[in-house]
Amino acid sequence: MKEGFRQCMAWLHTWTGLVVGWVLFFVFATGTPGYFQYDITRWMQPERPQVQRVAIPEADRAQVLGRALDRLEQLAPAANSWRITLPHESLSPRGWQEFSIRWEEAPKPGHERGVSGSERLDPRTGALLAGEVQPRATAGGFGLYRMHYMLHYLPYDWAIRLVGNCTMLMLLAMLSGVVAHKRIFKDFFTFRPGKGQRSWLDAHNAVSVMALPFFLMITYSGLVFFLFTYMPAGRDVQYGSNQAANKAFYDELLDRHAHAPFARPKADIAALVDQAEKRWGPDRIASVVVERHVGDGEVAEIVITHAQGGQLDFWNPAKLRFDADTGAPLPAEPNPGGDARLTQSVMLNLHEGLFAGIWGRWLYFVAGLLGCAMIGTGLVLWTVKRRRHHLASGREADEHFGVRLVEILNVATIAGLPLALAAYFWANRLLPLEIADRSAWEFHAVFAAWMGTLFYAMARPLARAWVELLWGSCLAFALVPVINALTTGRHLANSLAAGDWVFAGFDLTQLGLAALFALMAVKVQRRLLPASQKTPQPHSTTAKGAA
Amino acid sequence: MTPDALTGAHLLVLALGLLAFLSLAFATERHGEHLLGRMPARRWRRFARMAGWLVLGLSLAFAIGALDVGVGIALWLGWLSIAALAWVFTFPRWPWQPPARDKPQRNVKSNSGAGEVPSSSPMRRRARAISALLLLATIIVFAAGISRVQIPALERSYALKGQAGPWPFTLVESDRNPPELVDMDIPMKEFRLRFCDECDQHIRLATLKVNKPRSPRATGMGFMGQRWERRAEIPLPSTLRADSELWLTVTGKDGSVHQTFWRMDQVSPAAVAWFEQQRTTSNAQP
Repeated sequence: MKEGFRQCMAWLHTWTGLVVGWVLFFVFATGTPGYFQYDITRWMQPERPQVQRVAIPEADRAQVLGRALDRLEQLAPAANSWRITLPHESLSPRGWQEFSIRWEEAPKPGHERGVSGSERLDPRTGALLAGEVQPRATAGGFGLYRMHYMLHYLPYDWAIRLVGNCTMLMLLAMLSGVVAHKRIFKDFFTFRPGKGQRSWLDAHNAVSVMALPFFLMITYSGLVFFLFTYMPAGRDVQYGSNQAANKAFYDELLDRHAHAPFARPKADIAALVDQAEKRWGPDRIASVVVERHVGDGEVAEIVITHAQGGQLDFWNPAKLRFDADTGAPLPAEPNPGGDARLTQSVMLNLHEGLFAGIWGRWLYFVAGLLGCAMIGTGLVLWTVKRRRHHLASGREADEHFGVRLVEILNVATIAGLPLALAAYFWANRLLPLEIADRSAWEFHAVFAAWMGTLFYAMARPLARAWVELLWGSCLAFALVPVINALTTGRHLANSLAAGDWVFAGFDLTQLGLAALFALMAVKVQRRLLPASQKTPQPHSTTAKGAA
Repeated sequence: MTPDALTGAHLLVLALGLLAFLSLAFATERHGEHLLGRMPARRWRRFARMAGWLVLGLSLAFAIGALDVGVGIALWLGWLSIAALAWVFTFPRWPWQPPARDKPQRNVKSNSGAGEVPSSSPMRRRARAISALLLLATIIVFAAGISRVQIPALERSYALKGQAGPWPFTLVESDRNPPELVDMDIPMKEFRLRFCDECDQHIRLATLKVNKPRSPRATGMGFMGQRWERRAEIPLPSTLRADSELWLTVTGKDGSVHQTFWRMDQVSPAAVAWFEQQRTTSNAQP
């Protein structure tokens, strides 16, 4: 038995952290780019032209909206939903949303969804625009983001349970870590560089404590995401566990309406849009929807929705409802699901960070990198400690299998996984455009590269493996903008000149990451491979004091 | 609410955070001494602590005012983390620190002794060689995999070219395998369809059905998706034979309806063969 409560907690912290460390590093490393998933997708489809930000001229609004309604009436007279998307800046998907119409017809008997369609319109005239060009097949930023909870190759149900268990252990590791860190306030700003294990511990503590609000939030809200998968009992007792029960549950929870057909609104939509604009400001209106709920006395209604953003309840932006025939305002609908649902929704929004503008996304991104740093320093610390123990007991020659395994996994994950993620972007640009399942091959490239780094780490002396793979990751990121320049016309100079900040920002971020890895490589190199030593340092030297 | 207008607000929250944490650092014994080069007086430390907390409160109030309650608190915490970490990694480079008391070289010494370890036993060398081979194998398998990748369904040689009214298109089954059995043993087959680039936006709906549609309202399963690729998975009737017909009905946005059809053995020989085999086995049974 351990001596005291704090020692128990330290033990718990060490072992829970180690067991799930690599999975969590993967989760953080693939989840962090998720804060820029739309920008990444955009970069991975270089064929799509840069979006022009054109709003509907205020003077022509009545006429342009009228033409959109004409088109909807002609294409979908028996629809149960018409949507006109007004040009606006959106946070999800990020970027300028173009003027477009969308309709959905009533589902045929036996079908769950009706036929739907959409068209892009010219905001200046309301005329039909040609469809977009075909982008290359890619899973894009969303594919990368999805990996952080669905892993890859694994069945969905297993993956989210595996990640869930690891997340739970991470929560445990964080709470026990706070208890174990006895000088948490006294050493608040302490970092002592160049002192081996001491420095690793300081760095680990500093990063973990400073970004603790983010770590606690992201871990806890990650568990809330799969609430009904991880803890289905409550729902199953109330509703049953089969698919029909599941649907009934969500219908009730989300207060989904059945829709009935309607006629073209008689109210002046342009006037209602003016009214909303007066309240919210220009270009803040996301859409105008015409619908009619099934039920006695339900009138067709026009719903004008505010662009998302500015509040944590991201998916419920402000709405204005009007009677479609008289234009009279209708009372606001209650939030479906009540306060419990609102709480859950806020949790999930905190996790995804969609509500955040560009500054907030960078904050999230940096916080995600800090998460990688926390897990990485923790993992390295474990081997540094064990190595000291070995050295002290005079058994340097005994290669303990467990320690060796942890060390190899550390190199392959901390230095190798970033290289594999850079391979994702390489694959996007270098794979032939016309192969089948192209997006699947982008993922194969990631995992082949990662496996390659693992075997590489096994084949090389450990200190060399650290330095070489860190340089490898640096090179892999640095070359992404180069490959982009060679394979597309949208190189950095071009996108900077065109003011295309999605492309320029992506390339610059890759260069920034390359610089980060160069810095790490130099530090580790200085520590592990002193210039005076001609013979290669064997594996028994650990990644000490890189910080 | 434009990003530009908020940039100042974000930077101010960061600046206030930096200020607050610097003040709080002055307030502690350890860091105060470190930062000033001498131990600050107790009175000063108390003052610094109060000032630090005050500025923190101020920055929170400002963040809430500028960004609304929820977003304000969330991003305020984020900026605080950045501010605090910035100080943590700046302080060691602080110019006016007191002289270091302990020798930082101690650990390194015990470390450099490890260099004498016999570098590689035969077993270790063999393990390395195997790892190198595995690395090579990974590269070879990946390259071999890539070189064997098929071309996309719609561009394969057996894809059918056709014309529905004014609109040229390509239709193909997703794979050349026998039908897939879904719930209640219903054989299903997936098809892909693509109209020419200019035509696509004139198409309202395309449906697919085995055997000639009896009424214009029951033309089969609709293709989902738009533009580059539409997909539909249709059930195949148990009576399917080589001369059964697969009917494609295309409805334009102008309301015009065009139909075209193929013999089943033209479209999916594997499905026809599978049904033949089903019939022979069921006939063979007593």
